[in-house]
Amino acid sequence: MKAQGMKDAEKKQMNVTLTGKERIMDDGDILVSMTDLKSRVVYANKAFLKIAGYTQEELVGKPHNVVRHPLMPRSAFKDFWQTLQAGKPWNGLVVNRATNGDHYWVDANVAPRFENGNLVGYMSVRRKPQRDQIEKAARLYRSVLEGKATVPSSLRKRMSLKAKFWLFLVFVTVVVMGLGLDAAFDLLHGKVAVGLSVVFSVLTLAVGAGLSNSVLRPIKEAADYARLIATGDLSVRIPHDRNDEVGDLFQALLSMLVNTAAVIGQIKESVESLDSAAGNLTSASTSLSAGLDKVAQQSETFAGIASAATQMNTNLQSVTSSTEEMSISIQEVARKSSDSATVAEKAQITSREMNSLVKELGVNARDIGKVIESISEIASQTNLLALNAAIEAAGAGDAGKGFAVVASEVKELARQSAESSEEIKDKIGAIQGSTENVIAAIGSITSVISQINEIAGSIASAVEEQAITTREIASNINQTAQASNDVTASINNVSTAVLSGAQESASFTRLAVDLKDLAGNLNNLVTRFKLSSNGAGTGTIQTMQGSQEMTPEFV
Amino acid sequence: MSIHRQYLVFCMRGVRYGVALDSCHEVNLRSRVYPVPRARPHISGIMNLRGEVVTVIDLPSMFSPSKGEASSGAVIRLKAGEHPIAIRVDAVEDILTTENALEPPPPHLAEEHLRLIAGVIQTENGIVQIIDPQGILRV
Repeated sequence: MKAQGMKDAEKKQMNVTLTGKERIMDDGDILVSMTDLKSRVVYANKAFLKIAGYTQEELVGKPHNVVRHPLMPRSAFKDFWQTLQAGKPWNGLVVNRATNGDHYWVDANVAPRFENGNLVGYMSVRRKPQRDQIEKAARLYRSVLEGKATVPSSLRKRMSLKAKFWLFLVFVTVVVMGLGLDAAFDLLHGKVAVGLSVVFSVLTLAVGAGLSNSVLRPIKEAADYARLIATGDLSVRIPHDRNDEVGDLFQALLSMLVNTAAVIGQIKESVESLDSAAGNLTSASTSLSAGLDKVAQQSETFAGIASAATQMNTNLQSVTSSTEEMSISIQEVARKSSDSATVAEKAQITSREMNSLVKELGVNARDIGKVIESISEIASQTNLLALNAAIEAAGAGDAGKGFAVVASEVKELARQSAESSEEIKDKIGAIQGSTENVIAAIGSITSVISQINEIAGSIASAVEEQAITTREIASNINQTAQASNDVTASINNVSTAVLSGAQESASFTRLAVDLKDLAGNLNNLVTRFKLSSNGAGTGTIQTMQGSQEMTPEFV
Repeated sequence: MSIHRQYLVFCMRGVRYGVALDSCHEVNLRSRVYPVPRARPHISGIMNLRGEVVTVIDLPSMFSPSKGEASSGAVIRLKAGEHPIAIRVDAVEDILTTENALEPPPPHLAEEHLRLIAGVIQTENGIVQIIDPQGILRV
């Protein structure tokens, strides 16, 4: 017999990515997923994403059979679809494939999903199966794949209880009628009739008892289940193999249980997120508080700065008044310098005039000198003539004696002229020397005056610089005063901000604490529901700050 | 009886010499001497003196061989010989009238100098060596 299951090609493809490693669901985890009418995933909760190894983005929109495992027989899916299309929920054990090839078993409950009364898709809620369930299911599926067994149909009908009851009634009626007829018409022998009636009575009692039991017991069971559920134990296993009215009741209880468990599971996940968010909030508010405290601590420093700034302002004011006085003095000095510059100019003009006069004097002296030179020359010429005359006179003998006398007188005259000329020359030399001295003196006066002028000029410019500097100082002081005012104002602002920040942070902290309390309360509510058969309130959220069970990638 | 002798005193190289006044003809200061090529040594050249061509003898070079400076200085025209002759000296000083006798020249002078020097005269200002014009002519 041809093995059931998938086509070889499909099987091969799927076989390639199997690791053979089993993932076990955490106790109390509920895996929820919802699809649209075309079996595409529209929602998957965190627990499901975690065990199947997908992210929300990877899974939503994909067909749900990405998690299909080759061990699941085709006939199981056929039963699955048939049940769903009949409008009934389907229950069964399923093995799924995780994204990396691992596999995991689930106790699945799949039901149609309605919104506003319209069928919009399907929802699957899966709980952790027990080990014996898993083994039984594995054996069954393997046999089915090998062709040795078939998946029992979920829709197979048993005879309804109503039919049974009516049958029983008919049977009793027939028997009673028979007995009545027999009594009326004496159809049967007395003993036979008694025997028959005894037998039929016993039969009736037995069947009746059996029937009532088969009604009453399940009802009691259902009541027990319901009571358990009422205590919050959502981990009960409700059998779902009867297809009669009792089966319907159990099925309904199971659906209710499973859906409630799914909701509780969702709430738990949300509470965990809430708690971790509250934890973050608390730690954020704590660090905010700490930061504000630090700033507040600085407030003393700030106050010191502010008072220092005020002090500085006061000091600057006295500096300003001093610089104003200095300004006035500077202006005085500037005026005086300008006066001295005027005087110096006049002096320079005068000395220049004097210079030119003296130079004229010198020129005149030189001219005199030249005249004297010519006189000197004349004197020496005269001397020569006198010499020659003396020579002639000597040559003339006695006759020349008178001539010689005259010649010697002329020589004497020449000599005197020469002497006088020399004297005059000396005098002129002296005059010239004095003239030079005067010129030099005038020159030095002039240079002194121009030095004075320069000094006055540099005083004036220095003074001007001082004036500029003074003005700069004044403006700097102004700016500084402004700045220090700004500083003071800023410090005040900071103080105000810190104060209001501290208040905000306090209310922030209260808010965080409230949230934590809320998370705690919610958790308390939720942990009343037992989601797994091991331990109470499994999957408890640790409500201590900071510790989270859920890894952040599913937040 | 005192004899007044008159000498014309002049200066050469800082030394005072003299020549008898009656041997002098004339003193001239502005003298342009024209050199004569291939002339005998000690001849400065010739010059125009009142229209006459006069030979100028460079006296300083007679006394010291180094040919001194230029033709600045004075020229004394001498009355000696047939041809007009003049001597160039550094500077002319004055006419010396003295009663002192002409003394013989000092013996330590060189031979050629002795020919030139007639004798020496003592003055307040020192010794004046008197030139002998004939001695000059002979050179």
